[in-house]
Amino acid sequence: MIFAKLKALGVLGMNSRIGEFMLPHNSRKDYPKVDDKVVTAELAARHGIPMPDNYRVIESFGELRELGETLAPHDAFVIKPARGSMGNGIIVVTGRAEGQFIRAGGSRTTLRNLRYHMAQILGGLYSINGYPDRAIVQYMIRMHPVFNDISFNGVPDIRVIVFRGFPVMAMTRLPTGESGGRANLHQGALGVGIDLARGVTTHCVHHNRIIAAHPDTGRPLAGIAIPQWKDILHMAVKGYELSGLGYLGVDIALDRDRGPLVLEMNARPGLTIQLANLTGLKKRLVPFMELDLSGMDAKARVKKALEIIERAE
Amino acid sequence: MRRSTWILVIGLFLATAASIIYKTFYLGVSFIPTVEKNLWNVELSLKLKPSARSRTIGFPVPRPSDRLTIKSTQFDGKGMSLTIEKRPNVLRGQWQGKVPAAKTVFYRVVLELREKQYTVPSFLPPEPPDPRMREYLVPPELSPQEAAALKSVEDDIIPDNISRVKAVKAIYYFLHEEVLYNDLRSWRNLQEILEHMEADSRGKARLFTALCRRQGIPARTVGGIVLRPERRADEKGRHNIFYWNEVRLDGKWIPLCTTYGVFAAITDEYLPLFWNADSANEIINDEGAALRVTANRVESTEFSIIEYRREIRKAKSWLLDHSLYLLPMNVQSILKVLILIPFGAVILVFFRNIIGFKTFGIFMPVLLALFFRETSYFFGMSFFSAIVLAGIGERTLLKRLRLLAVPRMSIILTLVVVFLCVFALINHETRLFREFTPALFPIIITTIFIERFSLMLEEEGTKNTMKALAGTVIIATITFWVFSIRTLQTIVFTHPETLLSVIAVLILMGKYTGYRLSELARFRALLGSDE
Repeated sequence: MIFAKLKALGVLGMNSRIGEFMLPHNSRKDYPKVDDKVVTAELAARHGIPMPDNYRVIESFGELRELGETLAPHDAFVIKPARGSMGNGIIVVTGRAEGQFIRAGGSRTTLRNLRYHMAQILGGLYSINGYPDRAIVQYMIRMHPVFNDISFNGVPDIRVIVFRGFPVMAMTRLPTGESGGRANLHQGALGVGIDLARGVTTHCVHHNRIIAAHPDTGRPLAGIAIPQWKDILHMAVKGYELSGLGYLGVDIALDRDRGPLVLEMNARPGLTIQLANLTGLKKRLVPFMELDLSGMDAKARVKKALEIIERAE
Repeated sequence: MRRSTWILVIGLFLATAASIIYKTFYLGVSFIPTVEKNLWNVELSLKLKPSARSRTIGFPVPRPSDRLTIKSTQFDGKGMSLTIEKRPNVLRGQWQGKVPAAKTVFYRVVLELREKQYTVPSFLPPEPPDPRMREYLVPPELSPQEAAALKSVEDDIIPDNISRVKAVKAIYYFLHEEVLYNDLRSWRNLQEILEHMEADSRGKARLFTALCRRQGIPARTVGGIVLRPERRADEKGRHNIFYWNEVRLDGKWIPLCTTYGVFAAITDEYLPLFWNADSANEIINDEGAALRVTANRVESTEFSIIEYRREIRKAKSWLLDHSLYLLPMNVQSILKVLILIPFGAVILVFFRNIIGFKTFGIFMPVLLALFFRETSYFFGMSFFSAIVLAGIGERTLLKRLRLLAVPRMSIILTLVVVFLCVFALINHETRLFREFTPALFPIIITTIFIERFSLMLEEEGTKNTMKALAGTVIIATITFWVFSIRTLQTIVFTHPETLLSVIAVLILMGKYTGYRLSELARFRALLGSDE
């Protein structure tokens, strides 16, 4: 059978992800909790999960007239759609100069442009299903210096796959020149696998190919220890209580000043994480399928998961 | 897969099979409306000789009968008028008027031929003489040598006091088996035929008629064409006139052919044009014109719906009282298209979930295939490509205007309509696509497509967009190809319960949690690490 080798490696395919993990473990009614970042932020506050502050949520076109006043207190901020997907529609403003805004990457933009962009967000252009959306003006993450040499023109994030409340696989996504500063693998960002127990980077995948060094900075990508790793894992697994989703991807950014912050959660996390870790995801998921998690808090679940994974490999 | 799912799937398959088996075997209704196979496009052209002036020129016209149906008629007399006149031994067409410069006039029919069997009792009581048969009993005028040759054959093959049926059979066997067929040597003289024991079809038929009449049995020579491939005189389907016989037995004309050995039967290859050929000679050998007959098979995909409706009305079953064929024709024609959509969905699911193709939107390839089917593949593709290119151009321009999403999409929609108008005008002048009629839903499809396409270009880059475009076009092409299978359409329309099986197939595919073929490429880095 042509697929025997993939099966032996425990690789998770698209059909299996949907049919065996998303459908049985993710209830449709829980999707809005993670698909809308405004809703996620409200829930996160209740569960004590830190997220970047939302300075302002804009819901109507009328509010855009006062956009100048709204943005006045902030020099650096991020504009994003509440129901966006794959990093689309996000604009990062790092500062101001001569009455204009400086975008991540150095280009300038005007208030008029930002207003137009936000109007498009409200119109539903970037919304996951095309319906009218809300626009968020959010705290801009200050990148942690550990990523200085391996991230290009943007802030990386850390994706943790959480299955039934247990962490099973993780990677960090590093922006490149090609991805335009966005931490999205489809657009050319790098996926770097992380050893779950130690929090140290392993292999790197770029467009489904394994590479060793960052294409823009030329720095090696393996062997970097992620600070506050245990905190990141504890924060990630709390996403299970927050969302109720059994199969979940939690995206966390590491802020220079505030430490790990949950950026968003994803009910349909992608499969490329397997390449970044050079490990099949399905074989990681299977031991947790039937595991009884009653009476286990976030810390206990992380501990248990690391034990099980270490024993298996 | 859970047991209940299996039961559901098997149940759906069985329900389909049971219903079809019940209808075809128990009720005895045809599986699908039968195909009308034997349709021929026959052209009788007359090449007028230069000597011909304003006059009347006759030719034989195929005559409808219980085994010949005329489907359509068409003629071009180049200014001459046509009359059709019923004569005893021929249906005679007549061109009248001033001979045109073009010199060739046409009469075309599309006709269907069927075979027919006759039963001839082995013994027939003597019949009173029938005055209508007198002309078919006139013995041929023979030279003394011919008469002597015929007499000696009759002495050989026809014993005294034999029944009429046996006499006919004896003559038939003699001509079929002893006189060789040779259409290169046409002996005009019956004595020469008997001397060489070979003849063309005309010689054989004339000899048969002569021998029967000398026994007091009414017989006639039939002229026409035999639609066998080997009888075609040239590539264009020209046929030479061929002859066979009819003999009067038991008050019926019984056909037979001593050349190809057919007795008391006529196959669907024989197209008669005139009877009692010896006296009908002037019809085909008109001094002013030469008759040429060409016949070509019509590639028919017509299903005989009328026949099928008759069958299902007769069956009187609840199932068939609800046949889609009993709906009004305009409803039928729409349902015939709609009923294919589930098959498009199966193809789509296969390519997306098992092969792993990327597409625009989910059902875009199926919609596109329907669009191709409404117009034509070539037209559909050209139109689609043009409109997509135009749409991208428009969107690039509109981007500068900084419009909100919905009004911008509305402008694209308007521009698609404008494009369609311009296209229709250009097409009207150039007549590039004769089949072009603007339909409603392709406009919606193309608008959504342009919006998705340009958005994807921005968000996922050219490479991914081209992959999705290729996937969409490939699936649409294959779906279009499947939609073009007339037999599939007819089977599903005749037995809509096949859609239950389609659901079963979709359930099976929906339960497939194995890898997609494309994932072999996607995860090849993992595969490599193992070695």
